[in-house]
Amino acid sequence: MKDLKSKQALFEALDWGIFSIGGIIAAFLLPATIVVTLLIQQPIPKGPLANIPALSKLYLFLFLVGAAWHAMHRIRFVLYGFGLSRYRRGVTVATMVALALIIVFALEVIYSL
Amino acid sequence: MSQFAMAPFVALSVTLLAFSLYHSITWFLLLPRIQPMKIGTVVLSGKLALTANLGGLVVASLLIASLVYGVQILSAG
Repeated sequence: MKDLKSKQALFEALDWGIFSIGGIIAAFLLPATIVVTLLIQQPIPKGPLANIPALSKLYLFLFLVGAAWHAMHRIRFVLYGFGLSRYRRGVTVATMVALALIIVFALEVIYSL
Repeated sequence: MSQFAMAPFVALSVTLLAFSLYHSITWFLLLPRIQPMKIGTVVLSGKLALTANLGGLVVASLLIASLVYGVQILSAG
């Protein structure tokens, strides 16, 4: 029982930790990334990212996974607020499955670069 | 013109940009509540934290621009 509790505490700590890192990533990087990838869309000329593919892959990984984790965490607590706090386990599983699908999709995009 | 440059796509992108900027501002307003900054006994105001973080947002955006397009666009050369 104590083991289960400490596992739960570890999950909570990781969850909130990645949530706050993801929030910072989204706050600082999301606007510029939207402008670059969606609005300007110029083919990348001779920028450093084009020369170091590993850097762009790392950037995309941290950016997509961090922001997605942050978003699903918030959605989870919004659902609790809408009266689903009696089904915490189900809501957690549903949002974690959604997050896993997003991460798999992100990895597929990164792998295809 | 790129293949995505259509009015609905641009509208969607601008909407996403607006929401992401809204997230940035609300997140920067939240930060001083989570971790109030102190210098000696003086607690720095939330407005200062918002301003400083917005400055950080500009720096981070320029950093991304320089990473994508090269440093020369920053020195206008």
